Amino acid sequence: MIERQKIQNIDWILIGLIIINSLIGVVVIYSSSHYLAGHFFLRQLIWMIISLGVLFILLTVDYRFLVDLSPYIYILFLLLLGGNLIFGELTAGTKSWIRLPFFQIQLSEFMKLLVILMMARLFYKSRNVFINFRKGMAAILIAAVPFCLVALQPDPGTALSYLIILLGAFILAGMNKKMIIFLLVASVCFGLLAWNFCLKDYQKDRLTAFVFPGNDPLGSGYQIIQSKIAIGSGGFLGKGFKKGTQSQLRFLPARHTDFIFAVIGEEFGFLGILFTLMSYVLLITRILKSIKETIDRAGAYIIFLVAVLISVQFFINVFMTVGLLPLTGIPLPFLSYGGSSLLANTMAVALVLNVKMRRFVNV
Amino acid sequence: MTKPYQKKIQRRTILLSLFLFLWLGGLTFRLVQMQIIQRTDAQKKILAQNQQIIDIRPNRGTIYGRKGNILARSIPRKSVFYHPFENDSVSQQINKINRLKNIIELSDKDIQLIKNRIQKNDNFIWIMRKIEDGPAEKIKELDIAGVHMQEEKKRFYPQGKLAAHLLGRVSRDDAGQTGLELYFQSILAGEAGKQINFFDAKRRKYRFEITKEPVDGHDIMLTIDETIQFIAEKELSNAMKERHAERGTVIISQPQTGDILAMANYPTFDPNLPSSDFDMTDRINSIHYIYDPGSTFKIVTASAALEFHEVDQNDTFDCSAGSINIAGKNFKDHSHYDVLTFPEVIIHSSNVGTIQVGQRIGEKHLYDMIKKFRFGQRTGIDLPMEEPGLLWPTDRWSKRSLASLSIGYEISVTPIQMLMTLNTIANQGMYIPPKIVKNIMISSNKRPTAKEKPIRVISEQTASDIEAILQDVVRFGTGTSARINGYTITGKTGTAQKRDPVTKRYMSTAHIASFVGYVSNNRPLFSIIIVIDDPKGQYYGSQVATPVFRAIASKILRYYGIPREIQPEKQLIVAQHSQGAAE
Repeated sequence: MIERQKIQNIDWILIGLIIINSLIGVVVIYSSSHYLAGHFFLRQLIWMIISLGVLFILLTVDYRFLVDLSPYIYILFLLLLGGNLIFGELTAGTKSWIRLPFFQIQLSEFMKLLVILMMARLFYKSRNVFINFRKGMAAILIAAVPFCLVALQPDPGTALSYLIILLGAFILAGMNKKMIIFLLVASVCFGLLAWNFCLKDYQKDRLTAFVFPGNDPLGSGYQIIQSKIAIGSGGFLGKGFKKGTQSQLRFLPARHTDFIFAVIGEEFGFLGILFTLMSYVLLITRILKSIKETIDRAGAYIIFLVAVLISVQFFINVFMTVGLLPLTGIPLPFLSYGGSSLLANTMAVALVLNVKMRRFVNV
Repeated sequence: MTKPYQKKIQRRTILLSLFLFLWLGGLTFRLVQMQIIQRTDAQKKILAQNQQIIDIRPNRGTIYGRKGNILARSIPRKSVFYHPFENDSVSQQINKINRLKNIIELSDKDIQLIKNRIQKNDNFIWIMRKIEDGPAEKIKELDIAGVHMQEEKKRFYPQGKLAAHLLGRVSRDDAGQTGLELYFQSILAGEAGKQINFFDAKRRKYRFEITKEPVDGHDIMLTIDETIQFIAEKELSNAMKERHAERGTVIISQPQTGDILAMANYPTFDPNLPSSDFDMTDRINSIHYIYDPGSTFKIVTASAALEFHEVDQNDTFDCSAGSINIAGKNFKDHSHYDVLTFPEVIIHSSNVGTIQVGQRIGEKHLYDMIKKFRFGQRTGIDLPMEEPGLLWPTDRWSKRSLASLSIGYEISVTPIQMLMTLNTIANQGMYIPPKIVKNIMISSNKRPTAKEKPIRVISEQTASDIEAILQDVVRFGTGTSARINGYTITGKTGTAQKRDPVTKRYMSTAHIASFVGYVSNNRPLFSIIIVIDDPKGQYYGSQVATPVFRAIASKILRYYGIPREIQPEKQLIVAQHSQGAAE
């Protein structure tokens, strides 16, 4: 049972902000997929309700218990990911989804939460100003194993998010110069290895198309070009709900998922985007502000890493749609269609709420 | 109560926030650039990929004959075009085009051209235009993404070769290129409309909007009588084949109105068959072809003689020498004559006699008369690129020019000019300009074409005197083979030496045979000119052109159903006169 004081400490504004963001998503998903079979907006709405339910359930469990429990679940998920990689069926060209009776689920989305909890567990007793070597290697290992499993699905976008968490953890734990240099060299080596051995041709095409989009306007550059002109043509006020030709006429790829931001830009214009940005800024600043109200390091790590995860995913997605980053396949948190992503992001905020509501409880 | 580690965490949080706000600033900057500064660029790109503005072709006006038969009309045909699909590779797109090969005839060269344009990112590529309905239906069934059809109008000439030169041709875009199609382009064409097609990302046309309705062109009714045109073409073609001649023309007109009833030209062509470029067969010889008229021009000389009273009907001319020397050149007759009266000079077409008549008239009067008959200027008929002919002013004449001109040399005329000269005689001295268009149907109101007023060229008296002489030409002069029992024929033969196109000298081996004449019963019914360029074998106008006149005139008379007017006894007297040999 939760004590009354804790219920009073629930940050309802934060919950309100994720509802607003999710609802923006539902509206834009409707606009960009109402002519397709499948009722995507309705499904998203159901997922939103499920997510809120899960959020409240998660609040009843003390986050410290979750942190303690995280290694077991983490290992369980690694096994599931590995198993799915070996036995799973291909869905839309990847093995990202596990099929359940009524829906499909993307384990890799929930892995993000476990990586955050594992990082919190790893660092929460550390009193050093900088990370020591052992902890650094352990952190890398925690992120790298799921990274490899998910990258093999292949789902490089989600895999990348584990590295973002890792980077966030390093920033918070503190890095000395040696460490920074080591990380830079390691990432360059990793990049070169990946380019030569791991990246598929289409992924290389995406990268070259990003650098030279005009080179191949009919191939990989197509999505970037379509997205850019969709946003640009929206102008200041946009073309209006369900009136964007780029999305309605299907010129825009992945309209209700990865490129949902371009639909906002086209149909609601600069103003619509500003509104969306504002609600994001409020969400992230609200999360970051909570960091003061933690009673332990584990809580601070959780909040910091959730903020990093959500904001960096947001920026990567948006920079991709405006042509400032190559295509990576990272969805826009809370807005893009996708039950697993929505649930996982809501659960991440639930962790923040969990930490925040237990700030006055004495250990 | 702040613990030391909390300070560190707060510093890092502020650092992260700074980073995030920096990114946010960058993003906002980028969005301003995209959505506000480069907005119109993006919108243009969108229009280029999902809209396409095309012309809606108006119905081109129909051309009717005077009996109401359709000579030229436009019929709807589907044209196939390709709207490239940017997601496909060039080879994928070419495969799509190749699928059409079984249905329409696409050569490898056509495919290559289409491929080049796909590579150039063209938005709109014609595959094949104006295909038949059957293949169009099949292509529609295939439903290949990016392959679309648009209705266009194909020009169709239901009567085939009939009046092909007059009607002319249109380009693939329906622009008149020759003949009436060219001359009346602005009236026939109408105004194109505009249509916007909207495409989705799979290049399917999902909607279209007509922003401007097309305005159909106006119909035109010609003065050409379909039946007479047919007769003229048939007889001309027969004569051309018989005589192995190069070129030829027949013009038939109604003298009182100037209406052209037929204009046949040889060689001919079928306007329904595609032609890559123009050739000589496209020329309307009736108005484009210039030649030295020879003896038919003696009508002008005789008119001048009588009009200026330089010669009396009873004056005689000594032609017994058989030749006359003017400034070192010998002009000969083709037959031997003694002393001839003025009418006999014309009836037998004596060069020696006519030159003497010319000497009496003098340069000024002859030149004035030639000008009055409007030689050296266009008749103004509604056909493109009419030739004016060539008449030198007197100050450029040589010492023998007067003699040459009086027998129809040193002057270039068109067949239509020569026919108008005869029509002036038929119209009692009035020049009535030729007409080929009877009506331009603008809306429901029929607007007749602007008519030039008749001009008096010679007096009624002169005209009727000349008419009498020309009737005798047919009765017992050079034109006897034009005779048709029971009808009055007025006419003049002509045989001229052709000029060598290189040396510009007259050749004794190549000739132009002609006959110009009209049939009348109390009033002139119709006039005909026949000009045959370079007949092989016989070459006199009386041998080559006159029988054609007879054949055509008798058929027209049967077609019109005009009864004979002359008493049979009179014919017998006429028939006793022997045929004149010289012209």
